[in-house]
Formats: sequence, C-alpha cells, structure tokens
Amino acid sequence: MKKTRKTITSVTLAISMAAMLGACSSGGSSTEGTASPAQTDVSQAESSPNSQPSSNQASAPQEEEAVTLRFASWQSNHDAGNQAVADAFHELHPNITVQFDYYGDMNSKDYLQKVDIMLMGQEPIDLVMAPSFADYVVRAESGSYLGLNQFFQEEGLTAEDEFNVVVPVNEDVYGIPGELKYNLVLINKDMLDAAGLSVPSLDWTWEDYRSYAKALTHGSGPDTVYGSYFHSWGSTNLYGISSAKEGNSYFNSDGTLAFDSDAFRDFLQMRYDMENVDLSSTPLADVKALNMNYRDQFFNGTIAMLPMGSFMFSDIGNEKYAHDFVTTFARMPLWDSQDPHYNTVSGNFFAVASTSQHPKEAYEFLKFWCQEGVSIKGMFISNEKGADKMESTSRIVSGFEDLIDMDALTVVMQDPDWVDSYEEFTPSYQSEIDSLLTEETDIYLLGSQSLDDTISNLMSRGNVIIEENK
Amino acid sequence: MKRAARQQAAIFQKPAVKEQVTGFLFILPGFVGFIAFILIPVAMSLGLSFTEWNFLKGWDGIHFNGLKNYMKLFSDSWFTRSLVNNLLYTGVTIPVLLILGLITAEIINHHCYMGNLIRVLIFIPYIASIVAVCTVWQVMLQPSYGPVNQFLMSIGIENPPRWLVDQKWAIWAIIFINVWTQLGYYVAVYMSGLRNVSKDLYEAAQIDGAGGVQQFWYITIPMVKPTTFFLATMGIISSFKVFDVVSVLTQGGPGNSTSVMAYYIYKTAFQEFKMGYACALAWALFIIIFLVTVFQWKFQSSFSNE
Repeated sequence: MKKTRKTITSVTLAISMAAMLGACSSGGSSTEGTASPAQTDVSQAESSPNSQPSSNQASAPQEEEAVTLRFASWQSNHDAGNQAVADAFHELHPNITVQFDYYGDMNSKDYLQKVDIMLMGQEPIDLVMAPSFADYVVRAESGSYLGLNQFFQEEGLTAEDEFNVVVPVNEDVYGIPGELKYNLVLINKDMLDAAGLSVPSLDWTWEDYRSYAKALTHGSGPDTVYGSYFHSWGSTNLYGISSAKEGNSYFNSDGTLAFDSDAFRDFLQMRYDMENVDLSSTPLADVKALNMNYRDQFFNGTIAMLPMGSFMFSDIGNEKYAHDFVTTFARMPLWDSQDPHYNTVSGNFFAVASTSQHPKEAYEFLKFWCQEGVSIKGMFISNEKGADKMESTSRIVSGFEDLIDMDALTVVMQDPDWVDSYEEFTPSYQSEIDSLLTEETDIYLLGSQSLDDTISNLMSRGNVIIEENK
Repeated sequence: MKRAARQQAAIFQKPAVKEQVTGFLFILPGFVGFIAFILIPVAMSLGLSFTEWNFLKGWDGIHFNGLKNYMKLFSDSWFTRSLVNNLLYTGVTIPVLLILGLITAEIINHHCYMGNLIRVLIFIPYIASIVAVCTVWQVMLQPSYGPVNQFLMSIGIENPPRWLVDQKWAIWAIIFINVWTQLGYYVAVYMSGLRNVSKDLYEAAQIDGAGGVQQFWYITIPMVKPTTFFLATMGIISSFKVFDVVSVLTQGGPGNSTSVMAYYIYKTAFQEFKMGYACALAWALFIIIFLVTVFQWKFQSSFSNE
C-alpha cells in the first residue's frame, strides 16, 4: 500500500513537472508572440525614413482610416483641458481621435508603476508621460519609448528647431518636455505686508531669505506660522547647488557627484539652522511625521514662503485650495547678488510608447500637444520655440488675477538675466542617487548625524552606485 | 488484444486504483491553478534571482549573473538593517501579543462586566483599514504637539522621543502600532480556545485549594497550548511579511531605520526596478521563514496536548 502510494506521488510529481515545463515553454512562446507585433511596429517605424516612398504609399490609404490614439495620463484633474486639445486636433485631422486613460489620479508615482507594467506586458498604448528628467531617461534607455528623430527628419526638422528644451538620450530624442515647470518662491503677500517687508528683488540671496523667514515667523505651539517651508523631497536640498551652477544639480559636468560642493554644504547647514535654531522653517520632523502637503500648508496660511515651482500657478485658482490672500513671487535666491540668474526648469515629458500601434499619428499628436496644445490647455509654460514665458503664465492665471501679485510675477518671469538651467546629462541611476540623498539628508536634518558624516556618506555611497552602473 | 483490454478494465475496476483516479480528478482543478499561479512564478523567481533584470527592458533585458545577487546581500546595509528589524519586530511582537492576548481573553471571559462590548472594542482596530489606523497614530505621535508627546512633556520629560521620525524610536512605534491593531485577533482566538477548556478542571482545582493565579498557570496555559502554537506559527510567518504599516507610515525611514524585508523587496523591485536582486531578497526571506517554520514544527509535539 505504502509503496503504491509512493509511486503514485512520484508519478504525479513527474506529471506536474512536465506540465510546468510545458506551461513554461508555451508561456515563453506566447509572450514572444505578443511581443512580435510591437517589434514589427518598431522595425517598420525605423525603416520608414529609408523606404519613404513605400511608407507614403502605405500611409496614403491610412489617412482615410479612422485611428484612435490611446493617451495614458495621470492628469485626471486636467481632463477638460486635455479633451479640448484632443478636439482641436481632431478638427485638423478628422481621422484621428484621442482617448485619454487616466492612471494614478494625479499621482505620477502610482501612474509610472501601473503604466510601466502595462508597457512591459506589451499593452498597446500610444502616448505616455513622465514627470521628470530622471524618470524619462530611465525609460528612454530601457526602450519604453520610440525614438522621435526619425519622425522629425521625415519632416525635415530637428527637435531643437521646434522646442527650447530638448533632452537627447543616446543621440535620439525620445520625449518632449512639453509642459515646463520653473522653480520659484511663492510668498503670502498679506503676511509680507503685515511684517512690513517689501517684495524681494531679483537679486535677493539666501541670506535675505533667511532673514525674511525669521521676520515672517509668528505664533507659537501648534499655531506657529513658519516663515519658510522646505518639502520632504531629497531634491529640496539641491536648491543651494541649483542657485550656484547650471545643469544637473546632482552631478558636476564631468559626471562626478556635486555633494561635496560648498553650495550644497552651506544650504544644508542653513536649512538645519532655520529649522532647529531660528525656528523659522517648518521642522522636517513635522513635515514627515504628518506627511504634510505643501499646497495645504501654503494655502491654509500656516507658512509664509514656499520655494516650489511654477506648476503651482494653476493651484492658486483651484477651488480645492480656496483662500483669500494675495500670492506674490520671487525668483529662487542666489548665493551672491552678482551671480548669474539660473532658473531650474523641469517638465512633464511626453513620449510615444514603444507599444504604439500608430506611431506616426502618435507623433503628429505629440507635436501638436506640446505646441498649440499647451496654450489650449493653459496650465503650464510652453516649451515651443519662441514662446513667451509670461504669455503662457498669463494664460494660466487668467480668471483669478485678483489672487496674484501680477507685477511681481511679471518681473520674475521677464527677468532680463534669465538663464534656462536644465539637465543635459541625466544618468539612469539618478533615481538611486536621489533616494540616497533623501535617506542621508533626512538623518542629518532630524539630528542623528553630523553634516560632515552626511556629506562623506553621500559621496562614498553615491560613488558605489556610480561604480555599480559602469 | 482483447485480453489486454480486459486486463486494463480489470485494473480500473480495482477499487483502490479507481478511488485514486477519482481522487486525482477531484484535486485537478485546484492543482492546475496551484501550478499555474504559484509553482511556476515561484520557479521563475528562483531563476530570476540569478540574473540582473530591469524589467522595464522587457524579456531581452535579462542577464545571467550567477551568485552575484546573493553575494551582494551581506554587504548591503539595507538588507542587514531590514533583517535585524524583522527579527526584532518578530521577537517583540509575537511574545507580547501572545501574553497580552491570553491575559486579556482570560480577564474578559471570567472577570469582566460587559465583556462582549470590550471584546468588540478591542477587535475594531483589527478590522479597521490600516491606512486609517496609521493616520490616527500619525497625529497621536506628532513630535512637537501630538497628544502623546504633550502628555510626556506635561509629566516632566523634556525631550520626548520623536517617534516615527526618530531613528531610534521609529521601529518601536511601528511595533507598538502593530501590537495595538493585532491584539483583537489574538484575544478573539484565545477566547474561543478558553471556552474549550473543561470547567471540571477548574472545579477540581478549586476543591484542591488552588487560587486564581495557580489555576491560570497550571490549567489555562497548558490547556490552550494548541491555540498558542497556532497563533505563534501564523504570527511569526505573517510578521516576517509585515509591509503595510511601514509602507504607509515611514517608507523605511528615517534613513533605513524602519525598513523590513518585505518593504525592501518592494522598494528594490518596483522603485529601483532591480527585479533580479529583489528575487534574491525574496528567496533569502523565504529561507528564513522556512527555517523558522521547520524549527517550530519540530517542537510542535511539545505544544500539543495529544
């Protein structure tokens, strides 16, 4: 009896193993099967510049064919504006309709997680987004996006002709930062007036910022209104570096880490002193312990100055953050009033997914979206060549100008010494460096590690990451 | 030919074999599901743990790198910290829950007015959404003006711990919040365990002159051993897999002071996209849980009453 049971179990084991292997191999082939259409799409797209006549022939009848582009976005709050762009495009190209699918509900991190997995499963999506240079570069390098240079070349253009900020990866352009965001400081003007301070000039320094913060802090206990607020992102600690140099704030131009620079050390020291000595900036412990939302903090009037970005313009008019004070603006402080005026720019990237079924049409829409689309939507600063920053800005704030100090905003946006500063070099491991930065600076700002140790840890651990990725 | 067919038919008519075949047919649907959704993914993850794979790059991005992932484990400060935290977490949470759970159950069962109401109150955190529970504790443990620290300051402690943002105390805050949420479950299971203990034993002990504490020590504890064993086994396994509270409250921070294995695996796989290394971490976790469980089963006999 025992023996038969043994043989039976071994037989079933063998069967299950065989079944497993069978399933494995069939699984392998089926994924190859689903992968192949996407791959042929790519190869067709790649070969199209060389075989232009044939592709033209092929696309001629396609013009009649109705095409629906699938646009995966996280901007569910912007649905009305997005639809308006899609409708305007549909009027120009009646055969193309754009359908928006929202993932992550305004949270780009959740969006990336979902859409990455969908792309990996070869789901046909035509247009996708990324919220930052680093997120874009990782995906461009790993082949999630289609190269756009071929399409630009077909039209006899280059991306640089059409846009101000272009970020090539391995000598191809994979996405366009169509919606630009600049760093600047938002200030509660009512508090500024109450403290008897004037709107900061264009050449104000971090020292001025610190004394402004001191003067603006009032109240005590849970009702303290802090003069300044630094958000919990690790990258907040790079404000010092981005005031001092152009380009990527994590790295020097030769690819080495920038954390041993004086600008970085001075900023961290200043932030620590403001939070723990002056008590003029919301302590990081409070920010982290309550998962504070910087929009709520600013619009509820519990902070006076918020170094953040131009993407908050549209929030000022958002009913969700209803408030009755006027917001004024200043550029990011400098270290020395003689320094050049670098303006750190980031943006939402738009790209054609490698799984796109209609890459040509997707490119057409992408270009429209990043040019006319930005003004139709009216939420961000346009990246179109020759577009005026203040013009985009006035479009964003139209309808709630009474909540905005337009004079100060115009001064900031039309700064004659303006220098666009953006990452021309973004390695794929930048997100790892960023989480390291958050980790180490948290420990310092929460008071468990000295500044020297923090910087030496950042340098040594950061160099290990660089070494691993060589 | 005919004879062979007859022989085959005869085999199937043998009651034992027939029974076996029916039995296998019955478990087939479940077994196929098990193979497709558990066995194959597990085997694949073992395979992947010997590779380097950024899963954004698709299947072509898989590169075999031998034992490199496993070698890296021990020089990885996040891994060692996560492991130590997991051991600390399990070592504290489970004994505390077992002791508190049994005592609370005993008190509610025998010595308490409105016991059912109290049982429900204790059980509520367990069924409440973990995110809601965490939000409440986030406010309670707010470092500068949260109720807990206000109280500590009012009784004269000048620099109370900053709890969730304190490198030393954050893991203890997490342990405490977990004990608070899990306690209801332990109490509920112990209460049903206590109901199965025969009243005769207590009466006999009373006649022999045993007091309340002695009865608890010599009757209750030995009689609920099977329940204790069940709770300890399941508790240890689930405590090695703790994830939700860490993910909601601290994301492993400050620094890496509250990282646990499950959180680190998630972070490696879905935030850093290192699927190969994440699989190696998952297997390391599996080996630990497996060893602990084997160890427990070995001692099971001394826990059961049979």
